[in-house]
Amino acid sequence: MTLLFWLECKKIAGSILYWVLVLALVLVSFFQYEPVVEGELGRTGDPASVFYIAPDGNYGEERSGVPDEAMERAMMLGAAERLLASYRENRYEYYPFGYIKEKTMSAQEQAVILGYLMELTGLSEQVLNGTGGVDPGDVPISGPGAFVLEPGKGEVNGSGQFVIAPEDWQYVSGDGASPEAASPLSGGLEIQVPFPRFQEIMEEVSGLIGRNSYFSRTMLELYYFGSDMEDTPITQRQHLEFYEGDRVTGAFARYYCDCMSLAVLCLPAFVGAGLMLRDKRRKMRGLLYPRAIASARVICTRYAAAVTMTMLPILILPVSSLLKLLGYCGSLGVPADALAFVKYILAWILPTVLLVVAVSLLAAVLLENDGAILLAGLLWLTGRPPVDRLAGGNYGLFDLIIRHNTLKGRGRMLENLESLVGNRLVISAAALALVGAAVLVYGIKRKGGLRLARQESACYHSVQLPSER
Amino acid sequence: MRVRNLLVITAFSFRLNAKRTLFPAILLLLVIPLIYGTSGLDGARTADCLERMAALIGIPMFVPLLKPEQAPGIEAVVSLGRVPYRAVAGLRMVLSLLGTLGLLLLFEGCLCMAGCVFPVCAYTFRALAAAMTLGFPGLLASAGFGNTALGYLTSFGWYCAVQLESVGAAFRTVSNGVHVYPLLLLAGSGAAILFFSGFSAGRGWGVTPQSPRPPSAPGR
Repeated sequence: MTLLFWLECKKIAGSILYWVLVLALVLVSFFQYEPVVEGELGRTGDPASVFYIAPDGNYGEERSGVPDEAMERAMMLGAAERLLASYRENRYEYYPFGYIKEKTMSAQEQAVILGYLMELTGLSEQVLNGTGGVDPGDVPISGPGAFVLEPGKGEVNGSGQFVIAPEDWQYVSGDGASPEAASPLSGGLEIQVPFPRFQEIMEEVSGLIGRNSYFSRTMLELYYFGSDMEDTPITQRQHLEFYEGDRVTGAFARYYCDCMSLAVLCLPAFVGAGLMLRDKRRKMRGLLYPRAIASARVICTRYAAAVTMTMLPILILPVSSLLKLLGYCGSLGVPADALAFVKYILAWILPTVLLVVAVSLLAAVLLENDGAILLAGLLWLTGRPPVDRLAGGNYGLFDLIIRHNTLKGRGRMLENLESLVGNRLVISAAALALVGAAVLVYGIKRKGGLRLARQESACYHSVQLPSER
Repeated sequence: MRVRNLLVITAFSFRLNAKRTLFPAILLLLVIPLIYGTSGLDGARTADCLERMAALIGIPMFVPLLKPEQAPGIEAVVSLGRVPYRAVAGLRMVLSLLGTLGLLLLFEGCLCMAGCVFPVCAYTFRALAAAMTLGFPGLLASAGFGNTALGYLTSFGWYCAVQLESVGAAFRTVSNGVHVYPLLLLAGSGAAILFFSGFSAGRGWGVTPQSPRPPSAPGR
């Protein structure tokens, strides 16, 4: 078994496909991950750097220190305006697969949305539809007057767009009295419901639109409550998480896994499929099928070899940055976790590699053609996680990859550790089930059954051309 | 007589590659509306949809064109053929080009019916250029190394590189128009594909077929 495993590893290492895969991983690491390490090490004195140690112990203000009401109000106003615009165009954006999509509602669904808008803003149907002779922009939302654009205000910018600054709007009272001081238009909107009811309404609206709509809780929080992906001064909590929780290297290991995640969603398929299709190209199946070796042994050995060879460069690539980080920590006298990269790679990346190789292996055994590679491409296209997963700490049970596009947020990850572990276990179990299916199919094929692939003809070369007759 | 030969070869080339090229490309186009917004798009968003999604059909439409002759045993048959293999490769590229154009037109027709507003003619040719710039590097790798899987990997890598802001701006032909770099890439890779396809009839120069070693002389 061991000899067979090494033989398969040697076969993979001799394949040009494998070295292109290694090159791709090197490029991803070199262009996406390494600059972040260099950048952070180059600005350790910057309060926004995760390495920053405040001499006086004063760090950035925690987000919870900002008045919640202001953030909630901003969210409610922004979401209500956006919902009104979407309602009027009957075009609601959402991100089911990481790409933007629009949904058009039925008349019944539009009526439900209208009801929610009326409840949120307290405006009538005519006003919201813009059929009441007044435009919502001129509507006396929070008083008897309206905001109007002063004649001659506004200007055309360099792109040819007409731009109106907030101070260009002027408030005119409903009774025709003299204009009051100008204020931003959005400031005039008044939400008629408390924040908990607003959240309920947004949940309902989001349910009508679809997965990961703009009005979903996670997206609204991402837009209005901010996230630690922003380059803001680190807080006391983030400082402690980085130096004590992550022990420096853990944060970079998570970021490394995030950089590699999209690459491992497709590339390992080439190794798995290439290994199986090589038998066909070299016409080895006729020799391999009648051998006494068990199908499970052939498939499992190849699977293990493909996974091992794929994981090898992923494990080796961060070594240089790890040494730099350990050196920096040594100079500071700060403890660092030397095994953080290994732990995170095995927990976050390995299950995805297991699944992708298993899918390609099964497809290659079943179809015996490049369909396995195209299937992996399709998996890559559809398996990308939605936008709300980007900051990490938000894990679905069937997410193929784990995102964590920030050096901060360890606490967020730990809060949702159960769903993270559940996800990785489900993905690993699915991979093993697919390998089992591949063993089954391979066994049946060896016995002469299940022939999906047609025998290749000698192409058109077997055809006699009219001039040869 | 030559015309009849050409017709026969065209018909067989089409039959031979339709399963490998058209079927995955149509499947891909059918998947796009499920994962990406395709209704009510403006010009900029339609361009994004075409170059990020629809142009991907260039990969299955071009990369596997030389696959049939990469099977062992075909080399001798191909080299005995009356028609030069380079001509057959060129013919298949033209057929794939027409197929890609047809599929893009169909897809754009669907976009128009879904309320998208964009310049159809200009976007069709730009999307065709985008599809070709994705497919040709893969076909070149396939012709050069005699390995279709490597061709897919090359095209996939190229697609990822084009998505990067710094590298790909010149090759986002639908959004930014067709500039000199994509044209150079297409002309250069097209010529190289025809050049390499002549070597060992599509088996490439980088890979030699595995043949059993001759037995050692007795007594040595």
